[in-house]
Amino acid sequence: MDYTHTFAISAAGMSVERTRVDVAALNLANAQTLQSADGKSYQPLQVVARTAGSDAASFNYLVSRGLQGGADFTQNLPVASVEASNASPRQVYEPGHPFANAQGFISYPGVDPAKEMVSLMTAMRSYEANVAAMNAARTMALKALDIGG
Amino acid sequence: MSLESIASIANVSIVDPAFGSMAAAQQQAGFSQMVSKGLGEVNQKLLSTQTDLQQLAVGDVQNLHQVMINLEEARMSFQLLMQVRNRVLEAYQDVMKMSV
Repeated sequence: MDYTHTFAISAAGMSVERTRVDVAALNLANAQTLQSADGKSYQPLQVVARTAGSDAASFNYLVSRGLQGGADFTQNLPVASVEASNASPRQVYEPGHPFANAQGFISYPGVDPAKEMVSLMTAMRSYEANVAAMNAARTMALKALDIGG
Repeated sequence: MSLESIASIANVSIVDPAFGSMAAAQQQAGFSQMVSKGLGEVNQKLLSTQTDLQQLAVGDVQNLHQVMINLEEARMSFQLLMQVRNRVLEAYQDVMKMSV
């Protein structure tokens, strides 16, 4: 089945964008978190998308792909990994707070709400683009079924 | 004119060159088995989407887009089945309407 390849590609893209939305929501939800389970402050997360095949551009891979007579894109599907960003914590002056240090400052995690909103928006649009690509493949396959009919 | 001149046609196996070895293996199996195998695959797809939908209904779904993509795949394989059925039926009716 040819069109299922296209579906798998779009599905991988959708999974990545969904992870992006999840991580942005998690960062926003933890924007005011002072302490996580291990006693340290919450470290904002970020999504890094990589292609699955590490040998995607190697000579052997290209030769075998050429011998198969068609492009096999499943080697190059994106895979999202969640990594901690090293954003410095936000210092807020709140003396009298139980977590305040000697100078009266408490450190909130370095979550930038504007940045998270932008990444939410970008992820949403990218998801839409993936759906559009999948619908295009579907329409093409259904059109192919109309041949001769 | 003798009928022997076309008798040799009966020995010609109708093998699509595109299928190659697969056709050779399936020559004994025949067309009906191929059709029933395809039917079984389409049915399997439809049944698996039914399971997906049940999981969706009870709220036990990890990936909404995966469910939708599975639904689309099942629908398209069913459409393919319907097109094959239309072609076969059309050919059958053409043959039956043939005046002898």
